[in-house]
Amino acid sequence: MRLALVVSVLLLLISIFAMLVTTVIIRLVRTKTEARSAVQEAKLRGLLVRFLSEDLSLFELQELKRIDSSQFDEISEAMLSKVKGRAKDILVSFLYSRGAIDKAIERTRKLGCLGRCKAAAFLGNVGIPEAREPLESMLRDRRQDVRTLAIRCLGQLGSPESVPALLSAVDDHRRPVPFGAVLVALMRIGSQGKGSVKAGLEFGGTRCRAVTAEILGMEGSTEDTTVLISLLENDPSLEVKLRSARALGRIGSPKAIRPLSECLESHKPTALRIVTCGALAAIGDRDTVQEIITLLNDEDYQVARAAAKAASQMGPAGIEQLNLIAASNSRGAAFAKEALARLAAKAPSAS
Amino acid sequence: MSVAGMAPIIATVLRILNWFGLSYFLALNTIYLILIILASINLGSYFRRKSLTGLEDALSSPATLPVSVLMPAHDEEAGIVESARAVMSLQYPQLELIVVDDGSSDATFDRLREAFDLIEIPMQIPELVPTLGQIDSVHIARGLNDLTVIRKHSVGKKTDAVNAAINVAKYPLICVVDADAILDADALIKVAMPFIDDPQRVVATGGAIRPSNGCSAYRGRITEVRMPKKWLAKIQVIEYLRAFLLGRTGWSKLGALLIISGAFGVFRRDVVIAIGGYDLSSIGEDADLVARIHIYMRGLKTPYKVTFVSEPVCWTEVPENITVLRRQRRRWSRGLVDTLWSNKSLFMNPKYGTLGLLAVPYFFFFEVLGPVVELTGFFLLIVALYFNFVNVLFAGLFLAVAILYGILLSILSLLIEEVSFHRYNKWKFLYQAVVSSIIENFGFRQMHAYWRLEGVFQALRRTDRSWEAMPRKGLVSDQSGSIS
Repeated sequence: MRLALVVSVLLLLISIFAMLVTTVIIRLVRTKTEARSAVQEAKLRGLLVRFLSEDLSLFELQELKRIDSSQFDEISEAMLSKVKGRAKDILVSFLYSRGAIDKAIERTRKLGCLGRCKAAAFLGNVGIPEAREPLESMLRDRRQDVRTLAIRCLGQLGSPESVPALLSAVDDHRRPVPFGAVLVALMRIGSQGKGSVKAGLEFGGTRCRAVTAEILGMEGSTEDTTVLISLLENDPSLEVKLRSARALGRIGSPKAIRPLSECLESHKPTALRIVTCGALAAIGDRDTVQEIITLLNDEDYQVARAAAKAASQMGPAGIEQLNLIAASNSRGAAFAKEALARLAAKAPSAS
Repeated sequence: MSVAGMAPIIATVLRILNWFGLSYFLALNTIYLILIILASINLGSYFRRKSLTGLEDALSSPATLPVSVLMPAHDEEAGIVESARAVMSLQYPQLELIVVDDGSSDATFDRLREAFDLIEIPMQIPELVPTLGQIDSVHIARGLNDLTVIRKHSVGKKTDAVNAAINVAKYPLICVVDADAILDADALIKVAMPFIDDPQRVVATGGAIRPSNGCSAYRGRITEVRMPKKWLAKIQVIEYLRAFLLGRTGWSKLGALLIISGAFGVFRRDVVIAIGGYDLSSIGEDADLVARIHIYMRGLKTPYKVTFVSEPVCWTEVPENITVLRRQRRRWSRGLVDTLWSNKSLFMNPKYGTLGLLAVPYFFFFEVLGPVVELTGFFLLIVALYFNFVNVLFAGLFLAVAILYGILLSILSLLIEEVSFHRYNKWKFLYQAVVSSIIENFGFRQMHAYWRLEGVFQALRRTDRSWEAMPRKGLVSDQSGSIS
């Protein structure tokens, strides 16, 4: 037993010493390499900037790049996200000439997850049409982080042709992806992809319809009001209804007032009634003020508070009604007072 | 039987007990070693993907859930304004700050009123979660939509202040932050990332806590990380690194995170409301909340996640004198016993998976009973030495194994810190951290065990304690900006 203890003590001492030495070595290496690579990086970046501003020919650059090939590639890749226009075109051609893009496309099929992620990020930054297909196939990757990254990169690519793949991905329950990532990607693709986004309503599941409603609201086009009203009235999912109501508020078409008003009815879900108050306030029609004001006496305090807030955003008509309620003894007086006080607080101080 | 006749029996018993003590130490440290190794795997993976996490997208996404930051404050006049400003300038698409002035006897509220031009508003506050202290008034900042200050009577419980803030909060996520905490600018978005990546399953996340003593701060942000000046705080830097950063990362990797620090955690508001908010009778409110979330979510039979994110950092002042540290550690120990007792259904219950079968038994056998075994072990070793039941060399080796294993874990934690975060980047700090890792085992560890034991006894006697305010130096916003 004593021997076992002695051996343990020795082993522990050796391990501690080894770890200390490793820590010191890591720090030494880090200090040295950081300083060296900072100098090197500055030099290479300078060369690259000269090349991009066409102050240096490709031949001269290729001669110079021998300094440190891998670091040069890294800097070029990092610079991709920072340059635009002609400079980016030059950089992309340069990376093509070095075979970096083909290598990245190949890496998207590699086993290592990190390698796939880096390849996807690179392709997203390059932003060439050839990147779309490998990135779309990554939407079916077994790892969620890879799929999420592929979504982001497709957004960076900005090709409307990616929209169907993105909408399918958001509905894939076996390989889930974050809703927000798809939303941002579709936002980046913008109005060019709107046709495909709307087509998603035909075949899409709940999440697809929800993301579609959100995107249509962001694009803010009155021609989409009918589609959104239909979603608000007929869709079985509350999530879709909520996003449609919000989208209708953003678009601001008077056509949406009637269907939205119907959502204020007491048997409708609380969340929908709250969002609808906000949507009607955003449309700002004077005729709906009274409807909203009635809700200040609603049994659900959340609806009453949302209604008070909505009324305070509806200009003089809403404020006048709020003042009347605040002066009364009704249940909604407290909410009206709160909304008015919040409104007053928004104004800059007299002093 | 004569005393002389009993000696061999006593000697045998003492030897068995000493062996038990050693085995216990080895088991405890081995569990820690496993947790640290798991944490290092997790951190390795995190750092390799760090540049690919999509923070920028999350910051610009309309789908990023807005957060209500809840800041309970009691006698925090020294730093409350800086803390509030720092929270409101965090990188996050949409957040509101709710400060609860919980019956402060100092000028906490006056400082806020002067700084933010507060005006009182009449507000109907629903009782979604229970509160005890009466709310005196609600104030909002003129020209700002995002700051609400609640003044309430204190009932001496931080949980009551947080519950009051939950009732006022309007966003789907709530983040509880201590009034003396300093968050990194991107801390909130980083700790909320799991909610963005997996909104269906993630119900709670916690961020890392590090001691701010010695660091430089400017306008509520840490500008330079330094080791504290006092050795007691330096030791706590190592302790926080080993136990709170790596330990919790390890538990999170196992899917068995029981504690999210009360100083910095994000929760889904609907879940917190569904479980009745913070338990007002609880002493270890942070662990108790997480334990009840686990119980509730398992009851719903839907997949869920409680995760720890090691990168977002919340900096907090740690005690620099023995009296305050003792009080803090007694409270933590009392809180842990209280939490385990209140949620005893978790104990060895396979329904709760690794949490019930691993984490909760670990906390009971090693965190609650740890000080009992540790101090009894030391006592018996001294007795055995005195009566010559064990020889000095054997006892020395025995102690050496226990202490060296502890040092090994601390140095391993430092190594991981060096490879991953590399926050303490001066050679002087590395040297101080190494020395702290060693001296921690001579005196501090034994004192700590004693304080924890006191806490266990206080819990058994059901001693009640209210806000135990720690004297703060507050943040200094001058050019030097050093906290201590």
